Amino acid sequence: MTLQAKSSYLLSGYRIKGLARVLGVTFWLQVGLLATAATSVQVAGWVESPPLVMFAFLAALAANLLFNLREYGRLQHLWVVMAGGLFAYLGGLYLVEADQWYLRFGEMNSRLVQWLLVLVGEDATTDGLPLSVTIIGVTWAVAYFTSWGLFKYQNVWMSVVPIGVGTIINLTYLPERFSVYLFVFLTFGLLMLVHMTSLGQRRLLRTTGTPYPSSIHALSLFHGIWLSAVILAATVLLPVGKSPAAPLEWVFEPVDNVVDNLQDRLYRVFAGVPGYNPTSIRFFGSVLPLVRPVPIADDLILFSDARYPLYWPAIAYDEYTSKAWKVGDTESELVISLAQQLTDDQEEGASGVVYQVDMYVESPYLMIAGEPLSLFPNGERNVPASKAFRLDLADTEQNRDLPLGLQRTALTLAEYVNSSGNQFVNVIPSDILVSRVIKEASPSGGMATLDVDRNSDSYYTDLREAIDSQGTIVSLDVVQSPLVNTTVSMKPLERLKPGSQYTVTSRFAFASEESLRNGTEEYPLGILDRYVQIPASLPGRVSMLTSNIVSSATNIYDKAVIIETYLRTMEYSVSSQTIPHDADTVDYFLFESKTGYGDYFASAMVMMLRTQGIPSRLVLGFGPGEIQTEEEGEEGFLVRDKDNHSWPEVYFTNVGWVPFEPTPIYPTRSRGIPSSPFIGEGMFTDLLGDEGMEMLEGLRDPGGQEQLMDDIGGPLSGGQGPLELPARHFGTPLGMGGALFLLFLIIGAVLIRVFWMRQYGGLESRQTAYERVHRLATFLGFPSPVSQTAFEFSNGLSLLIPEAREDVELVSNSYVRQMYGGVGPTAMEELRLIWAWRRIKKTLVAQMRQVATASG
Amino acid sequence: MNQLVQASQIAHQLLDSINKVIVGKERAVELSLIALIAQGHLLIEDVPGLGKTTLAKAIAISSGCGFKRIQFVPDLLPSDITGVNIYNQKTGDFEFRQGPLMTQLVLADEINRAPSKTQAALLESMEEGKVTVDGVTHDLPRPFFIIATLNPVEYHGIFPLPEAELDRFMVRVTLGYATFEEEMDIIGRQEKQNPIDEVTAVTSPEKLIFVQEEAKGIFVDPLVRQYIVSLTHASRQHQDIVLGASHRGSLSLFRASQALALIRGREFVVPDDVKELAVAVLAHRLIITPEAKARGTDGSRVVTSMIDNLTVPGAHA
Repeated sequence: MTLQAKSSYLLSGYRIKGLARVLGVTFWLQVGLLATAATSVQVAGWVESPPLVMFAFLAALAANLLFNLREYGRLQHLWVVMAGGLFAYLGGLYLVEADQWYLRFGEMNSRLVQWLLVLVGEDATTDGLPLSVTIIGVTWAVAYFTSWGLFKYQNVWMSVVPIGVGTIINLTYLPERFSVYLFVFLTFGLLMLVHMTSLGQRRLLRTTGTPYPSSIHALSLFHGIWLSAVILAATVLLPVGKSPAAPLEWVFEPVDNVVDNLQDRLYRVFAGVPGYNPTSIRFFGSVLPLVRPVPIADDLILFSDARYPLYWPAIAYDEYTSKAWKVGDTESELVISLAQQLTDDQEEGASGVVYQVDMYVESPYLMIAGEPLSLFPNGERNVPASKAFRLDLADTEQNRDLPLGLQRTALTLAEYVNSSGNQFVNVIPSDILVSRVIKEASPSGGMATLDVDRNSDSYYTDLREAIDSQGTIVSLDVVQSPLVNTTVSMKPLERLKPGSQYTVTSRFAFASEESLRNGTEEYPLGILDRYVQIPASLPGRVSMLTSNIVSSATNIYDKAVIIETYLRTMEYSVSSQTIPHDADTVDYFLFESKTGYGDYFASAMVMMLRTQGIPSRLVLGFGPGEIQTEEEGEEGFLVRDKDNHSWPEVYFTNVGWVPFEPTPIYPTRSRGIPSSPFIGEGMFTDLLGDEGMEMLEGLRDPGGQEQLMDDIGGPLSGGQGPLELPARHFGTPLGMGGALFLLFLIIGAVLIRVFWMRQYGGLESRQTAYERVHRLATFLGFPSPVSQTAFEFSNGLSLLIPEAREDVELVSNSYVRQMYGGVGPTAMEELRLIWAWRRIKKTLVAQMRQVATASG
Repeated sequence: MNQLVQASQIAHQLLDSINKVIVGKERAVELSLIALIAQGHLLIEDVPGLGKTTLAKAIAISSGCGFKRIQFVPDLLPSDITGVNIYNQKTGDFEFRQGPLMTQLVLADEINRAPSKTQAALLESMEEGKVTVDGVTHDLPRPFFIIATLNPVEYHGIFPLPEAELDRFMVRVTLGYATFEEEMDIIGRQEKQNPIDEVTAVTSPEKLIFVQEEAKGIFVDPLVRQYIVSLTHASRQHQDIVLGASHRGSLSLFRASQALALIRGREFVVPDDVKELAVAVLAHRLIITPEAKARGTDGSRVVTSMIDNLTVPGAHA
């Protein structure tokens, strides 16, 4: 086919089918649906993007034109998908900033590649550009394929279901004020449903030759709207029980968990996408991106009745990538009550404090100041996962891949292979536990494995027995001992919701500066393994700078203080940072920008310490917040979104994790008991004192032991949340948007009613029986050309429904007499007319139904 | 008994009486009677031998009116129909001898065979109800009703009627051939004697005048008047028509509708009446363009198409 022939073929197709068909009502309704969905995504502001509506419209247009203007083949979809890819790429280019337009290509491509590398690797990224490109592509694909399905199969669900699912998923992440999009979507969906159903009916009836008035559209719409309004009104008026959301919550809980997990895992890729929780809580995850909006809002996060300014850690990060912090593998253990520990190791300066925390937002983590001794309701403690190793004692060369400390341990143990169990056990370092002993039972090579339960109370006895048993030790399976005082995070058994409360008794270890200075540089294996990690991408100058600064210091504490002091001279700024995508965040902060917010200061300090081989970590949580005095309410501290803070912690053997404060706007941490701003007795107390024990008893037994057990969970639990009704939007389950939608529907119905009355007259209005018959008959498809007179009409109608002939004649005679003779019906006649009209209506409708049934 | 019902009864007696003679031509008979009641004149256009004369005679006898028949021929003079002043030798004075026109019911047979001059004489009498001979005007009797016949077959030696004259006929009817059964019936009836001989007067000229006056009083709603006028207006704008219906056309349709309503016993006119009469009243008044004629269109078809495209006022709720 020549080009000319082709174009004329296209044009002729256009002409034959007509513009009305090509860009008809169906198309525009589809565009409406797509536009609503696209706008809801756009206004949510997940990522920066050019108008998605435009892409959705173009894709729908492509589907429409291609479907109407040419024969279709599978290849066509491929072309359209490729066009979508091109559009997405162009959209990306539009977003890239560069001095020259051609530089954009390079920038864009490198960012995409970088992102893909992150996606397949383990790193994190906050680059939103690839997501913008993806979202444009997805918009295009959804718009094209749903439109295609709609036009091709004339099936309304092919469009409404996928677009609706997308819209609703999008809206579930948005605050309630966005629900208006759902209702706009529902409106378009309703119109589409009515439209497509009417079209389908008309097609069906046309094939059977039954006349079908076009005004049936209006009637369907009217019924559709009323039905929707009735359903919605029923929803609004439905009595809502005490806890309306509970059953649904139960259904969604498993899904929620899966989604939460997935979100947490993918967060490293999607960290650049904003959310609608308070900014600070949103970043409570296993990955903390280092480019994030600094929380500055006044939204309340929690209230604590603690009488001292406390810092509220939520998560401790250990692994630094050049763009983010991550949490390594963790294990969880249930914290039921640690009260028995009170009798154990009392240390110098250790003090306890009891406080209650009231949550104002949802949070996946408990924020707990100090080491918790007891927690109510119960929670889960996440600690670094113990790593397992195999020590080869027969051939120590095999241990080359183990950490240095373990290699040394293996060499030592190898010397004691043949000693008695007692002796052997004594030389095993305390930071490892043996879980399995592998022995060569006989010279012929038979192996015996002896498992030891490292968690049992009789661990040492068992281990001695295992070592003393027959045979020579070939190798040992060992695990790291659990790290004392190394909590990564505390999770509630049930996700914290607004209104949740928890009560904690915590221990604070206040080591003096002197004791910190005297700390050793001997670290447990688990600490060295986890908390001195440095990524290869960290430029060497960070290490050089740090070495220069700390050269004068002789101990860990002084080194840390010097670094802290050095960082506190840098500039604090809450403005968001643009860090080149190929730069290391800490390096850029230290040498280029020299300005940043808490995350940068803390990251820099942690990485500087690590370059000196000092174990340290970054803790994300909240600062002490604002004091609330008795006059303002309950005494305590109000912690707000803007109090979100991160700080470094340094590990000191025998002391634990000690916080430092490199962020200049926060005061440096005191190394002793803080002073209370409140008048009266403080609640810090010697834990061995009677007062402390009584306090704990009082905490444990407000309603007896039984209740405590009951509150662990389960159906009997009475303490699983606030007892008052959850706040409902606008007093209805539908919220403000629903009420507006309902109003909209009712207005729509009234408008259609008015239209209907003007077109066909209301059946309640005063009108002659003839007019009613005429409207009904013409509505049902009985022909009534303009040149027809009343008698001709009634004669024709009598032929259709001979059984009602008398009634029809009565009606038409009366009408004609009134109309042309100027004589109205008498009262008696009017009564007869009403009955005649009713009989005619019944007969006519029955007749039409019969016709419709007979024809199909 | 109210007057309308009386008038309607008289009309029906007439109809019944005429229908006894003319077999299967109820429609034509009714149209003829409408022309009579509406004080118009009737034009019958048909081939010979289908009962034109019989119809005229039956009307005349049934109504008890005086009846004269004028056979129009090419050498017929105006005075031959109007009458002439003749010198009376006995009295020594001119006296007026009445022509056949001075009757209540005149059958002008094959009027297109007479020259225009003669036709013009007929014209005056039809419109004015008067005849002027030698400057003296003579009133015609009442009721005065002309039934003219036209023979469409012969085209030789005829003088086509001028438009003005055609316009003066209120109603044109064509009898058309009877059906097979009807024709059998006609033969059977005339086997022994002509049924026209059995017809007797069922009414009187006075009663006929009463009916005519009664018809004028039939109510015509503005909606119906509107319908009539829009119909004639449409004829003036129709593409196939050179010359549309005149005001006389509207008036004729108006009067004819009244007459029909009277026959139906209705005290008001409905659009159906207008519709029913439109072809009979309007078709012969229209002059069709040669192109349309070549296409086979005639006045009746044009009127029918106009009706089909015209909205009936008040019939569509």
